[in-house]
Amino acid sequence: MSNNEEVKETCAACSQEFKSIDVIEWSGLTVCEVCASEAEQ
Amino acid sequence: MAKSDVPKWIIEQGSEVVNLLRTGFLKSESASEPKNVNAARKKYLKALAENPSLVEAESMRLGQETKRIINPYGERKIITPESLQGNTIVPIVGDRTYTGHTIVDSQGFDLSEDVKVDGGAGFAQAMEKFGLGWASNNPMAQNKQNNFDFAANKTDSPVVGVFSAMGDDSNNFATPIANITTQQLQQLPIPKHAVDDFDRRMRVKYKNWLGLEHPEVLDQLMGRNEFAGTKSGAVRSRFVKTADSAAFRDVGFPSRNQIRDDVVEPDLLNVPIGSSGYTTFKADIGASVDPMDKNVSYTHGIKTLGYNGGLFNQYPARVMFPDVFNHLDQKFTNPKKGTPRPFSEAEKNGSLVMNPKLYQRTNQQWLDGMMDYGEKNNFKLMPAGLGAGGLLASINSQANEMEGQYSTDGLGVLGITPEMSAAMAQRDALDQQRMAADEQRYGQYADDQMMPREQTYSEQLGNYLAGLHYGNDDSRSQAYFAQNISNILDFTPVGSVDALKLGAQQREAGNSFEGWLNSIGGAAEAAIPLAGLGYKYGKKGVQGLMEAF
Repeated sequence: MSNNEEVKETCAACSQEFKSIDVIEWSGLTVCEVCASEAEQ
Repeated sequence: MAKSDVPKWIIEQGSEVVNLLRTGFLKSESASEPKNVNAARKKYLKALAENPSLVEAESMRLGQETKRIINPYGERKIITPESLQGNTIVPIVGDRTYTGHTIVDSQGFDLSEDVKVDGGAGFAQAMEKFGLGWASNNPMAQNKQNNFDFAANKTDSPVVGVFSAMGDDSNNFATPIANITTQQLQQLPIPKHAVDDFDRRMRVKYKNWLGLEHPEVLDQLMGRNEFAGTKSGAVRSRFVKTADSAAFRDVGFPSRNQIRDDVVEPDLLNVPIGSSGYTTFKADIGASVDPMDKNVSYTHGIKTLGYNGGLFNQYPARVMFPDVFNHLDQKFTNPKKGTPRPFSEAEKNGSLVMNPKLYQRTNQQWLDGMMDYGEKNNFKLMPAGLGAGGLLASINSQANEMEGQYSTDGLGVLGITPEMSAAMAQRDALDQQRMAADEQRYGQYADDQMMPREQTYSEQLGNYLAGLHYGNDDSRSQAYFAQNISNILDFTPVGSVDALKLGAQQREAGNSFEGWLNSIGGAAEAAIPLAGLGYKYGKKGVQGLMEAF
């Protein structure tokens, strides 16, 4: 079992995969930068 | 463990395509290539040979059924695109879970805590009596209410929320998959080193992760008791995603896809992201968004003026919300670093989830687009109906030959109303849609009898019958069971009465259900589960089912 295998994060809105550092939590959802910005319209 | 030490039956059953898919050794998108299937089999056999815990896990779950209690909330009301004309529609995105189902046993693992599935596309219909149309956490819930209010203000017409399916990963956020995974893990022989590694990976992101073996880990994942008010949804998503990774799959962690299949609405299992129209509800403009306890995954309710039904077929989001997509097609990202670029298609779908200012006028142009898409894809607007006279006459004709064993007055031998007939036709068409989607998804394997979605009603019913949870045959379960039975009559003029008699005779003769089922494999498919009904319930039970209506 590899200790370096990273579990990628899935953006709850667009369903694309990202590294952990590229997502944030918004309303309890893990979302990417683009989708998070859409919530702030 | 050498490969030769792995029980032969596990190698044989486990290597079947359906199990490779469900355990994650084979990806659905690559399942149409035989070389990929062979590669997946090799990986599976290698994992078995290297991990006694996987062998033990497979021995516990292979071939096992999931048992559930169904709390019916009524048949889905079918509406046409025309009925939506003159409104303003707003996308309501959601997960695909199977509203109204409670899982009591998952693939052979008895669940000490029943798992209630109470979200999903059926929420608006099931929760109409409480005045709720949707649920989410805040600020997302308030964001959606703001979207309704914004649309009403801009268009001055009634606003209707239209369900649009989120991606498969959204099901990880809802509680059922994480709950069942945890309860299965508590019964599986997972090696200590794997448990430690799993906990380490969870703590990379969630430093307060209790650990798989902690007695309160389910509380943490469900966000209850001392964990109430925590952002448990994100923890669940991470938990399920981590447990589903190859490293843990190989040592026998629960099969996420198999659990997913058990808790997702079958009509939504294989539809593309953004498929829209399964459910609609009337927005309550200006309503407050309040905390509610009707759903364990989400904290706040979005009010409704009423459930509004759902379209017979589902439409791509781009067809359902064409003006929205025209707007999104012109949109550029606004990155903190780097150069703005046009939205990708995935990001446009993401905008449906997040953007609180999206709406679509359902004018003539919109209707023309919907109708055009429907014509090109051979959509039906409404259930064809079964010709109630024909079907019911046929049933009653058979029933009249029953020497008075069963009541034949009123609604027919199985209590089929015209409304149920319409629902049966709807179910038939949806099943055909689903099969077509499977064919596209699985390619040549769509014809494989192992594919779960390729089962006919009668086969599904046979499975249901075999897995029926004794002790929970209350009137609601019986009513649902009878509805299932009636569904298969859609397929065949086979004499249900004779089939019922056959089953009862087999039971009286002392034959086991399984043995008898195997012996009549050549019989008409609809006769099998009907005879099973006779076997299980006998005359008295069948009458009980009829009286349940």
